[in-house]
Amino acid sequence: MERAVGIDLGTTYSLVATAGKGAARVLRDANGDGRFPSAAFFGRNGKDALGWDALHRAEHEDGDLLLSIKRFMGRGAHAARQDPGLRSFRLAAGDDRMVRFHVEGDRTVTPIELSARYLAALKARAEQDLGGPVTGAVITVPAYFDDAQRQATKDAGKLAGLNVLRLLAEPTAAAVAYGLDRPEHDNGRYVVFDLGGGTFDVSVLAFERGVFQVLATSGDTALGGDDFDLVLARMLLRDAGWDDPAGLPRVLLNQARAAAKAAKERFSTEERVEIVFAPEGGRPVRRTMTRQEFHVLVDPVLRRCRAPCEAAMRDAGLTGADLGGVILVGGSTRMPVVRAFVREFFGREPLLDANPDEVVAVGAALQADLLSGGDRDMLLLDVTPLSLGVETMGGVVDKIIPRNTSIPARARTTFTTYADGQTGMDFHVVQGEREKVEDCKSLARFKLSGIPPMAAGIGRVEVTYALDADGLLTVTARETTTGRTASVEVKPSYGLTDAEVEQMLVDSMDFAEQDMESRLLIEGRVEAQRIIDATRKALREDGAMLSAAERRSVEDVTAQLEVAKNARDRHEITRLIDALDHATAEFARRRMGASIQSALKDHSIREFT
Amino acid sequence: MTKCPHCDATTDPVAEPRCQGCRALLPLPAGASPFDVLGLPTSYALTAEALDAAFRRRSMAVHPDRLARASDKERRIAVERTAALTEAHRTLRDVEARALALLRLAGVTPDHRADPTLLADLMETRERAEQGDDVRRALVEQVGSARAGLLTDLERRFGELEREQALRDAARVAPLGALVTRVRYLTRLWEDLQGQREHAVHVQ
Ligand SMILES: [Zn+2]
Repeated sequence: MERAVGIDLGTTYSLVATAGKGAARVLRDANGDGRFPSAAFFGRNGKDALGWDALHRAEHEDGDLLLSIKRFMGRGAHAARQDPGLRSFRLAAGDDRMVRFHVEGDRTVTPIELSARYLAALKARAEQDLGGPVTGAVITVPAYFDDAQRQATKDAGKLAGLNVLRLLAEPTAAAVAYGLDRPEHDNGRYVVFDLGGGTFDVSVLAFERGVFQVLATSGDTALGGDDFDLVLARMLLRDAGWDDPAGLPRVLLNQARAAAKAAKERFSTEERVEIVFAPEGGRPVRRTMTRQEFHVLVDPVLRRCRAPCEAAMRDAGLTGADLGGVILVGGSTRMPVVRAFVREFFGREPLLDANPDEVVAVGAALQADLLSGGDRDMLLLDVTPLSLGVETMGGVVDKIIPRNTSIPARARTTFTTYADGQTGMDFHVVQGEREKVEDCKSLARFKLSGIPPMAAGIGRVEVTYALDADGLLTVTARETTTGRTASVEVKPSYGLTDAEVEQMLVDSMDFAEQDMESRLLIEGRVEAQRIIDATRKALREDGAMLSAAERRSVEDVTAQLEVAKNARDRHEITRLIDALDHATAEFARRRMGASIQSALKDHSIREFT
Repeated sequence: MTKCPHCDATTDPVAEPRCQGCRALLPLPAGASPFDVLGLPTSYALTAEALDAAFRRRSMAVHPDRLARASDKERRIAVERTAALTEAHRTLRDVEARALALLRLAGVTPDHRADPTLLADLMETRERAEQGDDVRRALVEQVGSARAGLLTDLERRFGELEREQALRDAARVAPLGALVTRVRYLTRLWEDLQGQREHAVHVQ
């Protein structure tokens, strides 16, 4: 049985879905909720919490609540210092390559480690549901994520012990989940408007007979629902008497943010919302706000969606009239103000029949199933969101792979030597749309040496850019004039080395006793299920080898283990696994004996033991 | 016609990416043109829709994501064919690159240098664009329509050669080289003129 999953690693919430033989489904917690808050809490008393637990504790306890860390994936400390958010996190002395947060217990954590913990929690949810280890995962990323952000996401997957089958763009995943289900939309061009908690993507796709081709994509990796919350939270803090949120207690900031978020969500269904915010040490705030007033307040945030929409439509060469529809994805598209923007910009009503929270995870699950050999009539053809180039004379960028090129992709360009007897050539690999190197993101610098001395302009070096299906880049340079080749291969350098990933794995074991406990519980449950299944199978096949009393005793212990498996005591699970082993020992011996007489039975016995 | 590397059947990997005998994916023959890669007839007159449709159809047949359970050998072929497919699609989607591909197929290497009158023209236009936004906007229009006129010309002349089955006749294709070079210079100028406008908007 294949156990591949799709994971939507979101800014605010993350989800996991699976698509086995049949339709894809989102895996839910005990309350039937598919959402897992992408939140971690590090309390004073030393205990950490993830997900819903983290959110609840942060409202009552002092400690470090880390939210929306997806904003910092693949970013240096510089980006975090500039973050416009309410700074309830504490930055540790990080480096240029990676943000580091200081948390209770005198520890530091990176966005990659936190993402890995969310991924591990979702992996555990899936393993419990599917009754076995997850064999592979497709993890979604915002379409507009650059190379560093994608690499960081892949590292988080590795750190969580996942076999990452693919990084998939969120709007593309959503389009697949939406389009495959609705054959009436076949053969058209669609826009996916994806406004999540912290990121914004807009993609234009063509669907045709199971093929989903991305024509163009654009976005803003620092724009999302969080920004709407912030505007409202700042207003509440101002009303309560604090003009500058800097230096305010963290509990207070968390409360303001929670009040803002709740109010924002109520505006999706209500015209007037009464907002109550009664912080300790501040003026109590009680105000009624109309939806119209809210719209005016958040308009500056919403206006930032416009330029990416224009860019994607221009690059696709389409106008609103050419579209079959606009699909809304991401919780923030529930806001009426966002829907009004979509209606106005594209000149049509958005399609509302998709679940904006779940389509991304479902699409990722479908792709995971395809990539692990599932028989599905579909194919996703994604693009790179940002141009990749090389620095040339005068600090100007020469684009080698332009944005919106289908991936995987490969492109080559040739350089000639510029000095007599030149034996080396320096390369600077950049990503971005601007002409000047300093306005683009630097990915890597490398030097090709060993070029045989020649007259200027004679030596030729061929540079190849290869983008893999995850949108990750490898650059190779080769000297071609003399037939002798000197070549060098670089991968952009901000990613983690395998050794660093291993070190992080060791570190996370030290500080996650609670994790260990829950992992042992899950392993126990998985093992219990395996034994229960095997016992039942053996009873079905060879039950006749047992007397009625023997059979009843095996069935009793099996039933007890079944009950224990669904409770939380792993020691009880272990005890009953041993008991069932003991109760079936004689049965196994008889089956073994029978198998010597009948080689055909070999198969089922091997499964049993 | 080549032999299938999997089962030795005789195959045509351009017309049909999979072997008729064993259904396995076939490697592209050496020297396949971008048209071959997409499974399209050699022609200048291809619409963006037709190119996208061929790209999707071929991708479904050759993409490694569709071959998760295939042999390593077949998957390597799939990776190669998909890379070639992406490149061919990108080449033919761009009218200038498509024209250059047709020249190359005929064995024609165009002279990339502009003739002196064209160069003088280009320099003069760039100087005039410095006079102000209104002048520049007018020039964008003017250069854009000059370029469109040249493209129509190019389409007509390639069309004639195609009807007369002379697309591979170097002597007949060669005169189009200068026309293609002219289009490329105008495109560069046109983009630069528009780029300045975009820049001005950002500054506001
Ligand atoms: Zn064959």
